[in-house]
Amino acid sequence: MNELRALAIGLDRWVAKAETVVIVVLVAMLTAVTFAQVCARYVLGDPLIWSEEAARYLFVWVSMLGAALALREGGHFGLDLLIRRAPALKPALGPMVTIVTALFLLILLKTGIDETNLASRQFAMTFPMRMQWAYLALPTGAGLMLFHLAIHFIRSPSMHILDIRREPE
Amino acid sequence: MTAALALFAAFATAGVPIAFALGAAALAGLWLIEGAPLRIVASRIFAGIDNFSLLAIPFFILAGDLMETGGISQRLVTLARVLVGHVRGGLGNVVLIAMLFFSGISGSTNADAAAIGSVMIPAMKRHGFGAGHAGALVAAAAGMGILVPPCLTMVVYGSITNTSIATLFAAGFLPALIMTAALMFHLRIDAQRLGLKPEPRISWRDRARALRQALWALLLPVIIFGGILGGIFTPTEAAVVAVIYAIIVGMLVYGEVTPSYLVRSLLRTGVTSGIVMLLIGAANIFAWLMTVSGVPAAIASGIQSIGGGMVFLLMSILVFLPLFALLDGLPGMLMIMPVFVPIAQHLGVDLVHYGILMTAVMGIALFLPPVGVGLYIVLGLSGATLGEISRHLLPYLATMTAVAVLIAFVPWIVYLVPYLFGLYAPR
Repeated sequence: MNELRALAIGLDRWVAKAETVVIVVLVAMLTAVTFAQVCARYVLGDPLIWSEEAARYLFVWVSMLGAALALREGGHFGLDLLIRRAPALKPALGPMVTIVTALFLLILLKTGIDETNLASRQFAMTFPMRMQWAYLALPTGAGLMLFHLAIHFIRSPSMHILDIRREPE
Repeated sequence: MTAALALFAAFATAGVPIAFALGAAALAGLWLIEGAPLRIVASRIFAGIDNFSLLAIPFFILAGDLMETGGISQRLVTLARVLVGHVRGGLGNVVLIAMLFFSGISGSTNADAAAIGSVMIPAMKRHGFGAGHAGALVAAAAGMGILVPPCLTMVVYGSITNTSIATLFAAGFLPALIMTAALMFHLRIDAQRLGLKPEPRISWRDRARALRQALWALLLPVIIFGGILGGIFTPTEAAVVAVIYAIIVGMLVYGEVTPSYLVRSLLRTGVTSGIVMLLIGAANIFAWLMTVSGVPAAIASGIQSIGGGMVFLLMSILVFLPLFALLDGLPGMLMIMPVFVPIAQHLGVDLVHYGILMTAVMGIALFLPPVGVGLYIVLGLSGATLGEISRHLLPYLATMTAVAVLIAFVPWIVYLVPYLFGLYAPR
């Protein structure tokens, strides 16, 4: 059992590392694509038609992966007034909060998969790409958030999500 | 609909992060509406994020992060010091003016408070300010600074309400200056009472040198606003130009941005964007529910019967202050916008005016004792207790609230600058 737990935690660290690398690369790409748009329009006088749409879909990916890593590090804003004033309630509130969060993420995962399947028949407006690759960010992000949430739960079932505070590795 | 709002309040109080609390409460609301398709959840989140205007968010975060190195805040503080250090109130004025400069580079209020506070609070303590007073001044200045563009609050508000972000940016300048003037006047009275001495006057040669050293940093807002107000760039494009400029200046001129610092900045930008965008997406599901329910229209007709627009603006201030203080500003704004913005539209309130008012109130709320998040930054930096800071801060916040009420009653404060730049046509 303990080995399984250690394995899960190790996997969590590995996933977070992969997320980190992908986020850094995507934000760099996002910046490069948008800057290329500015240069093409104002310096070369020949505007790119695909850059704005490409940047938007890149940003959807950045947002969902960023939200996942933020969940691992306890970055999402929450109201901690009650748990600070009444720490005795924490062991009871912690699992409830985890369940509510997981419920929303499960629905986002399910509807995200549905939307991704629907989008496989559409194409992006300005370049040849199936829209499923843009929509895929939603179930991926929801799945990763559920994964990190599950690991937090395995580490300590009674933890409260607002108590998680860690530095990115 | 009331059920969804009550459920949100319950979830948020229990400590469910606001984005998930909004999403889960909206799920319950969807459940209650006969035949509402569940796929709204994914499609509204996607549509909420998929917006080119919102791309200004990661770029302003990134540019700010790259410019927030110690050297730059030190240079801007030095410049502010040679400009206004000799005015009565001394270093307190320096805090306010340095914040005007610094907020023009960074879009984040908490980062402003940390950057200026870490330089100025120790200096003020050495020059006869109490720890509580020094912390309070930095808090008040940072709260004012939210009105100085670029401002993430304005980007989010403008993108969601389809209000021109360029107009909102231009509209923020005059209210920021009026709030600065009001705070400097307030400080002047305090200085007399507390016997604070001004700094010696600085020679013009030293002033020129301080200006030269801060020049590279100050050019950034010039590029951003010159580009946006001159109609050359969209705010998103101006933001990405700011990023490239910040990388070049940070690496080559000041030498404080290293490749590993850059990578960390890229990561922080991605994570912060993720937090903000998930909130925006979840709030977008909520907005759909509100539109379907017709609740805002009903509230609007109720307010119409008791006095209309002005009553609504004052009511907004009263609701926003505690709400934004409790919910860390932006999450609170995203939660309340689906209800209040449609009401404003029904009552014929101009959305630029409303957005600036909302931003001004957020600046105050972020530092409102005892819960404002920004407060805890100045607490840490000053070493004062919450009580000491609050005693000095509350009068300043009262002055700022008076300015917010002034903004509500005198809309031309908001319209004047956009009008001069041709971004606003009077109705």
